[in-house]
Amino acid sequence: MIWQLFITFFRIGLFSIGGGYPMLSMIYQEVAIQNRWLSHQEVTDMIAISQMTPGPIAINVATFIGYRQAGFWGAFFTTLGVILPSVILMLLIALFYFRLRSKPWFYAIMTGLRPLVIGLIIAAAWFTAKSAFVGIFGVIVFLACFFLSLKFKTNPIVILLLSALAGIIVG
Amino acid sequence: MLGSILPSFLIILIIAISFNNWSQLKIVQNAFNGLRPAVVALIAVPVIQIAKKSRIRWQRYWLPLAAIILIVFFNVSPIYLIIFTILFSWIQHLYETENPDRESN
Repeated sequence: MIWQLFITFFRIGLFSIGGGYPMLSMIYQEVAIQNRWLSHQEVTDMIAISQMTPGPIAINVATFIGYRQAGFWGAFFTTLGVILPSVILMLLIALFYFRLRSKPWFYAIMTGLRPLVIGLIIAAAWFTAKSAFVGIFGVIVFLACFFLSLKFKTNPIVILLLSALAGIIVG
Repeated sequence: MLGSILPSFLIILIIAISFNNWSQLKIVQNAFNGLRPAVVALIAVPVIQIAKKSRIRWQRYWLPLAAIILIVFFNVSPIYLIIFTILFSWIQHLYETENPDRESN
């Protein structure tokens, strides 16, 4: 069980390109669809909690799922699993980056991955939306938050606090 | 490294340990009804920002579109898409280097 948790999050960590959001679609697939450790909605709730607490989303989700499934050591090994690949990759890239950066083929691959990252984030938004839009209230909150974030660059924490408050008031 | 991981690890651990004590409260569930669509918005906004910044060649729009369809409807792992994209970009690069006159923008 713990091995399964570790290897799943190691895989997620290994293929996390472009930061936290692109890997969310992988987390939905592995956690909610393949292994059924959490429901879609619980993953979404976990992402919400992760955005209000310090630390990268992927690590927070890993810790939470590890604890829910296998207690403290579950949390320990999922967290280790998700950070280990980036530690190894960071060391490798730190060693080779300056040599790689000037290589045209390396630049071509990095540029080639950018459109894919956009697709991965939209897929993550889709998975999230599936459990988020309950009636017209959800749509209104989404549009309001989207507008605040895009036009006024409102702090994510402020956006989340306001929308939680809206949820409590509406009931 | 450990210093930056440990605080968030402990915070999430505390949340996970106490989760069952407060997650069923009516006020918490109502708050999450507001939080979930907000999370969708916070994920969606960077898409527009990255798309603007990275000036994708118009030929490349098929890639994110195909990725979304494969991931969402066919449950294909992003791992395969990442490997495919790396190989595709590399081969395309080799092709363009050997045929410089065919390079298109």
